[in-house]
Order: sequence, then C-alpha cells, then structure tokens
Amino acid sequence: MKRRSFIAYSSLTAIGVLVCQSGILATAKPIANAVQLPEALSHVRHGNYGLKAIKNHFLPKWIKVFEPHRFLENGFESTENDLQLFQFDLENQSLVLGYNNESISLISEGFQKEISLHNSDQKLRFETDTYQVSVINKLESLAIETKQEHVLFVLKGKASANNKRLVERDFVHFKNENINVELSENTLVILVSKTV
Amino acid sequence: MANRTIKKIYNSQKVNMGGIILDQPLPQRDMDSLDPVLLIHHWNDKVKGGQHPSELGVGPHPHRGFSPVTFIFKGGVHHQDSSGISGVIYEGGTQWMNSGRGIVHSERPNKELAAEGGDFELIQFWVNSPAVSKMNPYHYQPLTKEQTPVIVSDDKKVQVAVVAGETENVKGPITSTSPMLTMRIEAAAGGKKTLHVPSNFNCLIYVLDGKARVNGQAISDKQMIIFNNDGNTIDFESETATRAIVLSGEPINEPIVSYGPFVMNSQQEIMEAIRDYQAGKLGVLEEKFS
Repeated sequence: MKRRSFIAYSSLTAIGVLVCQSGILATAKPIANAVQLPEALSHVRHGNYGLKAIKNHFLPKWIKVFEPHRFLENGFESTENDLQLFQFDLENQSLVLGYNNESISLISEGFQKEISLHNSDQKLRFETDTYQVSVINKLESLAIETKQEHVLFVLKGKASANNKRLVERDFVHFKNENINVELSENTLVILVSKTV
Repeated sequence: MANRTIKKIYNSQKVNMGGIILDQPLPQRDMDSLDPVLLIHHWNDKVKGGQHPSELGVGPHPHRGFSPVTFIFKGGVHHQDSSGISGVIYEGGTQWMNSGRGIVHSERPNKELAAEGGDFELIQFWVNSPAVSKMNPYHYQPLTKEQTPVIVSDDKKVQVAVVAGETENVKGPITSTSPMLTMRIEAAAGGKKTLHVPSNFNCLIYVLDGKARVNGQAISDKQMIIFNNDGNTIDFESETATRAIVLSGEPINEPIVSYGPFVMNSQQEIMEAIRDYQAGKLGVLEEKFS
C-alpha cells in the first residue's frame, strides 16, 4: 500500500501560486467548457438524503463527485445557517466539505479542519502523495503552472479561469495547462489536483 | 395529583420532504424541539394503486444519533435496513429504531398497498439519544397492534395504547434510550380519561383528527398542545371521535445539532456522520421487493 502523508496547515502561503508574469498569461489558452453541478437538494429534518454520483464526461475518472445537498438548519425553511455539502471521493478516500455563512469544514478519515469564512488569512488544504485539495475563499489571483491535472469547482460567487467567466456551480477541468484564476469577492472555490 | 397547565397550542405547518408533503407540528418557528422529542411528521395520503413499492415512500437514507419512531395508523409500512432486517408493520403497530452509530434504511408502503391502493397514514417522531448512547449498536424494535398493551377508560370510550414507558401499572414493550412515556389514544365521542405523566417529563399531545378538550382547553385536527411541567395528570375528553398521540420524556439537557437525517452534539460529529455514511460505514441497503 502506498504510504500516504496528510498535511494540514493554515498559513498565508497561497496554493500553487506563482508570481503572475506576462509570459504565463500570454500562453494561457481560453477554456472552452465550463459545466455546471446540479442545484443542491434541500432537506428538512429527515428528508430524502442519499448519495448520487454525478455522471459527467467532463469530470476525470479519478474523482467521483456527488450531487450537492443543503440541510436546512431550522428544519423547515432556508436560512444562512444551513449546512451546505460538497462531497467527493478520490479513489478510496471520502472527503466532505461543509459550509455555511460562517465557516468551512473539510473532513476525511484521519483529517478534519475548520476555518472561518471571515478570516481571509486562513486557508484549508488537504494533501496526500497524489492529490491536493485546496479550499479558497480569498479575493486573489492564482496562476497555476504545474504538471498536474486540476478540477476547479465554484461553490459560491464568481470567478474567471483564463478569462472564462465562471458562476456558482460551474466547474472546469484542466490538464497540463497554464491557468489564471481570479476570484471575485465572497467567492468560495475548491481546487482538486492530481499529480500525473 | 395535579393537572398540568398548558403552555401553548400550535397548528401544524406543511413541509416538503423530498417531494412528500407532510404536516409538521414540530419543529415550529419558536420551538425547535421539546427535549427529547425533536420532530413530528404526520403523513396522511391515498395510494392510488397499480404501482411498484419502489416508486413510493422514502428510499434508502441514513440516520445516526437518535431514534426515528413510526406509529402506523393506516396501511402498512415496509422497513428494510442495511443490517438485513426487512419487515412490514400494519395499522396500530410501531417501528422504533434506535439508529445508534448508524444505519441506512428505507420505509415504504407495503407491496400490496402499492399494487391495490388504499389509505396510508403514519406519524413519525424523532427521539434524541443521550450522548452516551449515540454511538451504540443499531437496534430495531417492531411492535404490532396486538403486542401493544391498552388501558381502557371506565366509560369504555377511550383506549390508550402504551408503547414505551409505564403508566397505571401498564408497561409498554419498547426500550427507549432515555426515560419516556409514549401513548396512542383512540377515543369515541364523549369519552373521558385522566392520563398520568411524570411531572418531570416534558409532555405534548398531538391530535391527528377529531375534537377534544384537554384540561378544559379545546384542541382539534393537527394541533399540538405543549404542557408545563407543573403537574402529573392530564384530563382528556373527546367531543367527537378523536385520535391523538402523547409524547413525553425526561429532558436530556445536552447540546443538539441536527442536520438532515443526523442528530448529534456538535457540528464536528455531524460532519463525521456524513463522512462515515459516504465511506459506507453505515452500511449499504439493496432493497428487495419480493
């Protein structure tokens, strides 16, 4: 069994960020496809919660993403305190991202971390030998140039990737490409990367 | 002996549970729960017939940390779960599930009802488990109507079925994770019965249908009365034929974090429940409809 190492930290270090250079931006290709996740299913207490994998050929085979859900906090109508879920599997690892207006929490076997949405200095990152998961809610630009495959999900707000506008629920898949990602205010994205 | 005074009367509100429209007396906007009772759903419907049971009811879903309890009033409910249990309980019966550390189950009208059509009515209520019991092994307790002891009023018009707990020397067969007294009332018009509920128990009565007076207060269809804990008796008088349930229990007094099908003591424990479900640790249910 491959040895896995789990690294979790909060720091000012941006994830996979290189200094933006005109050379990088000039070689960034326009993105053709941004695909949408389905709308989250809302649940009163009880509800019909079950996991259904999203079948979409724009998702790489190494990630299984489930339809998103929203648990109503008061049990009968939607409020800012609802728990929104983004759940996915990376091979045999189950990861759950839970968030509301106050905080984001990422959990997997042997790993759990929560950060405040109001503290832009905090970042949330999960890493193994093969995969990296980064949850970003800070207004910033990212230029990613690595020999990796990435899937970027916009969970909340707006972003742009290589000048392609992305809105809530959009996701894009990149492979060995230079990407320039810019986040708008009050945006939450998750970047899932695989070393190829 | 002293009658409990009435704290408040609530009307049920309609909620959409995954496409199923239910009456929900609890929670309310100003009352999230009545410790240890977390939720009451009243589902009353007509099954049209000519259907497969997989098209009806609630498919496989998980639970952890509390007991979902179903009182069946009309029709039959087929329960299947990831531990391998499969069984139907019919009207007058109870399905009491201590979900403990977790289970995946489905609850649907039985196959005959799906095929032939008919009335389908149940109440599901949720009973919180104390923290020490939340990760216990799963335990399912089915109870038929015949297995449920009944107290009959002196005027023979009020029948009180005792499901869990003890009253008037009658003990309900169900084992709950904390002290409770739960009863089902079926009354003809003009019936009278004094109910005995320990004064330290939180207590409510929910009327499915009919008109009654409870300690002199009028109550009718789909209303819920919440009592103060200042007495140990409740006078019940049915003006018309009335069906009601009495839910009471010793308050657990612990933090409650409730999202979807999970009830735990912290947000972290909720996230762990979701992760464990996703990883298959609560089991997998492949339904069978033979």
